[in-house]
This record gives sequence, structure tokens and C-alpha cells, in this order.
Amino acid sequence: MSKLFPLGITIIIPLGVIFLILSFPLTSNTGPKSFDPKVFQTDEIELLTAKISEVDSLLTDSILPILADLKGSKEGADKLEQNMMKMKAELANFKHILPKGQNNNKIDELLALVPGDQAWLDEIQDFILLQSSLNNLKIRWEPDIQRVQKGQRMYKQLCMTCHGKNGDGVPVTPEKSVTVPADAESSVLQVRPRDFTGITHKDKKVVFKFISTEREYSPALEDDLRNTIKSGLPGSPMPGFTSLSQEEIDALVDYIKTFAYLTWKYGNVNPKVYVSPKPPHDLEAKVRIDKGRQAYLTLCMACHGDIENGKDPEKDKTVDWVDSSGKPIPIMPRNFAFEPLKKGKFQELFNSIRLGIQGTPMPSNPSLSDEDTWDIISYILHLRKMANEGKLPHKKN
Amino acid sequence: MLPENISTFGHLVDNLILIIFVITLMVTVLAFGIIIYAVIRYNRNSNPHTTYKFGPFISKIIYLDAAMIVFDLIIAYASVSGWAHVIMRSRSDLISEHKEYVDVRIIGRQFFWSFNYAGLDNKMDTNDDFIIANKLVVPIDTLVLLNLTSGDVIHSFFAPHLRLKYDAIPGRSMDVWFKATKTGSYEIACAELCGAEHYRMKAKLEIVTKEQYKSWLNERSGALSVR
Repeated sequence: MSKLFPLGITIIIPLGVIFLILSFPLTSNTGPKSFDPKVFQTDEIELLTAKISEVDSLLTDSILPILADLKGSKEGADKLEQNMMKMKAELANFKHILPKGQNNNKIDELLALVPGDQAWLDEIQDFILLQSSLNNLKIRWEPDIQRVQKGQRMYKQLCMTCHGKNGDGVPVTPEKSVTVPADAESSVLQVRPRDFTGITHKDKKVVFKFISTEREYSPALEDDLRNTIKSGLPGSPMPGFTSLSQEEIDALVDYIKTFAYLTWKYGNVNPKVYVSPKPPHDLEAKVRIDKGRQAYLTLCMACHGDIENGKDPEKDKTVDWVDSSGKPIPIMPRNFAFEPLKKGKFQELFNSIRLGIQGTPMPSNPSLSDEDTWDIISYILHLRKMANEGKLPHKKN
Repeated sequence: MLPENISTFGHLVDNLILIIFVITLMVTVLAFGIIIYAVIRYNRNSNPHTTYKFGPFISKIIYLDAAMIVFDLIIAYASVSGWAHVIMRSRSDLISEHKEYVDVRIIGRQFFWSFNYAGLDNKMDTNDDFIIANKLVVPIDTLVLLNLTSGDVIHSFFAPHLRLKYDAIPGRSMDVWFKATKTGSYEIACAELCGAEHYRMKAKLEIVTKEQYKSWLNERSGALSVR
């Protein structure tokens, strides 16, 4: 015992005291004071900054120097042509990822100049002017590093599991069936999470399905993304993140944009926004339903099927996104009567009919008049009512 | 000590916790009492030489086992009347008992809770379903049927105020239920370490009046649902 006593004093008691001291910050409610998240995230901030500066340098390092070189290389026609081809390839690459618009047209002008052409040599001054205008491309969006960083943290928590670590729509934890019940296979579509980078698109473009601008003129409006995050897409696993505050959603949208940095940065500054009219009050009138049925039979039935007579939508329509083997992914058109609508509000549906759904076989119908569109919507409403009352033939019921 | 109880079966769970606490307290006090008594009574000065006493083997077994069985029986009774009341009720029984109910499918995901609502018609997988992340809104005094599952790894649905904690396991779906007795805003957490952001996997539980719930449901279900 007397031998053990010093052992207790020298080892066990100091250990206990150290343990108590160490455990104090865990138990006390000091929070951020004892924990600095920056310590853990330096690498990530650096990576993010590097990513952003890397894409910026594509313009300043590879395109602009080539253009500057051209001025002094009049004598070497070969070198000139070589440079020109290089630049054209760079420009074409760059143009490819840009949505249509002012910036895109400017690059078209550049591309139209043919290497070796005498006219081009004469216009070299104009050309140099144009290249400086490349430098002065209109900038739609610049990331705010603080916000992007906040968004990144939220992305990791809320989006990464489905949309993937790199935003390419490859889930971190893939699921065999996206929704749970096995018997609901027919009613719930297999949905692929949106790819924010454009890698899985057949033309490597960033395309969002539900937008309120004219097709292909902009990846989407910020408000479109905000809307989808807030209200979710019923009928898919995408939930509505209603509990997020406005700043949090903004941060999230900012981070999502960094996945396709150039596309968003040089996208159309003022994309043409399509504003759908307010719904009329007589949507449930029989006249409208009948007219809507006629329009549906001519316009929509080919893909969406004769739902009223129990026919399912056609399958095997392909979309613009490809799977890992390069094959386009098949989708099934919505069955309006039995399935939830991803964008189910009247005006959203109006937009979908008018502008189409990008990347899918759903076309835009710009020639359809407002009244005809409302007729179709009132017919869809009628179909949904019938389905809820159990009056529609369907294999599920 | 415990958070406020807002569910109809919460007191049963609290009782169970209390009973287990009292039993362990009794055993602890008894065991430590004997140890302390022995240390003082048989210290080196008063008892320099160790003595061993051997009683009949069977009596030790009886004392130990009798105590164990009694305590086990008490805990078992409390469990059956308490927790089993929550989990051993079939969905159809509950539905036939309460005509009015709310159906919610909960999917735990890394790292948020996804609440699938049945919509206005109260039927799952129909055209007015909708999904909300991290917010569970339910009416007061109404049966809420939860169907728990996970999309990726094991999560655990934990609503301390409801005294409800149940694992969400991928590939399995579990039915649990509750009935809230008080309106307000409470917290839901994930009680199973599920990954790096586990600590942020929180959701809000909002218990509202029946009228508020109805208007909320109407608003969420979207215009193209049947009104």
C-alpha cells in the first residue's frame, strides 16, 4: 500500500486533473469561442480560390496572349495560322459553355474572321479592339467568397448526398430506387439529380429544366433556382427547403453557380424573362375543359397519352443528359392525373407549356395563345379531379 | 430535468426512465454502501489478517437472482405498458381507432430529414404529395403516423419533446406514431452518428392548431390539387 500511494499521487491524480481540464470545454457551453472552424477549412478555402482563379486564367493566360502575339507575327503566316487555329479552338470551347446572348454573339464575330484572309489582315486593328472587348465581356455574376464558402458548407449538408460532391449529379450515396415503396415504381419516375456542371449533358451545357427565361438564352434565373430550392419538386426526391432563410438560399445558389463558373459569370446580363399572365377565374368551366380536351388531343396526347381513356404516357423518350456509357437517359412523360406535378402552380404550369422543359422532349409552344394554354391547364385540372374521385381508369386503382 | 413532455405517451416513457433510474440508484447506493462499510470496518488496523468465510453457494445465487428477477420484472412491466404501447400497435389498428390522422413518410438523408406528406387526400403516392426538408408540421391532438426509413446510412429520428426516438434503417420501413398535446416549435435531431455533418442534421417540429394545419396544407399542396 505504501508503495502504491506515491504511484497514485504521481500518475493517477495528475491524469485525473488533466482529464477534468480537458473535458471542461466539452461540457461548458462556450461554443465558437473554443472552436474555430477556419482551422479545419483552410485547405478548402484555398482550393475554392484556386478553382475560381483557374477558370479566370483561361481567359487571361491562354486566349489574350495569343491575340496579343498576332500583332507582331504578320511576317510568319504559318505561325499566324497556327495561333489562329489555337485561338479558335479556345474560343469555340469557351463559346460552347456560354448561353446564347450578347457575349456569345461577340465571340461569334471573332470566330467569323478567317485566318490567312487578306481582309482579316486589314482588319487587324479592329480585331485587336475586339480582343480587348473580350476582356470587357459583360459580367453577369461575380462570386463573393464569404457567401460561396457559407454555401459550400450548406451544400455539403443538404445537397451533396444526391447532387454529388462535384455537383455533377452523381450521388454520394446512390439509391437503387429513389423513392421508398417498391410497388410505387410506376407512379414515381426514376429521377436523376440535376447536374450543375454540365458534364453529363450531351453538349456539355449547363441546363436547368424549370426556368422562366427563353430557352437556351440563360442557364436559369437566380430566382428560378431559389424557387426550386424553396418549394422542391413534388414527385421527385427533391424536397422543399422551407426552413432556410433568404441569405442561406442565396449562399447556396452562389455556391451552385461556382460549379459552372464561366457560364454564370459571362451569361446573359439581362436575360429575357417570361412572365406568365394571371390565371382566369373560370378555369373549371365546362367550355374550357372541352376546348382544352381538343387542344390536348392534338398537342399533348402523342407523348402524354390519352389519360382519360386509361392509356399511360409513352415511354422511352430520351433526354439530353447521358449516362456514364454515353447513352441518353430515357424518361417517361408525366401522367397528369395520377402523378404529382413538379411545378404544379398554375403559372408555373403555364410556363412549362409555353417555354417547354429544357433538355427533355417537351417542346416550347410559343405560338399557343394564352387562352388556349389556360384551356389545356383547365383540362389537366379536370383530369386530376377525376383521378382523385376515382373516376379515371388506371392500372394502379 | 427532462424536456417538456408534449405527447400522449410521454409520461409512460418518463416513468420508465424514472423506474430504471430509481432501481440503478438503489443498487448503486447499496453496492457503494457495502464497499465503504467494508473499507472502514475491515481496515488494516482493526483487521490485520484476512479471513475468508464461505456460506452455502446456493444462498448467494438466490439473493442475487431474486434481486435481479424482481428488478427485471419491474422494468419489463414498465416497458410493456410504456414503450410497447408505442411500437407494438399496428398501423391499421391505429387508423381504425382514430378516424382522423396525418400520414408522413420520413426519409433520413445525409444530412437532412425529408418529410413526405400525403397531401390533401391523405393518401401516399397520389398526385398531391409534396416533400419538405427539415420541417415537420403536424396538427395538435391528431394521430400522426410516421413511416421511417433512410436513403443512405442509419439515422435515428429523435424528437425529445415527444419522447420518441427510432432508428431509420435503409431498406426497412418502420411505423411509429405520436399524438401531440401542445402547440409550439420543437426540435428534431438525428441520434445516430451518420457522417461528418451529423451534428447539423436538425429539423423543426411545428405543432399547430388544426385550422392552421389545414390552411398550411392547402398552401403547400399547390394550386393544381383538388380543393
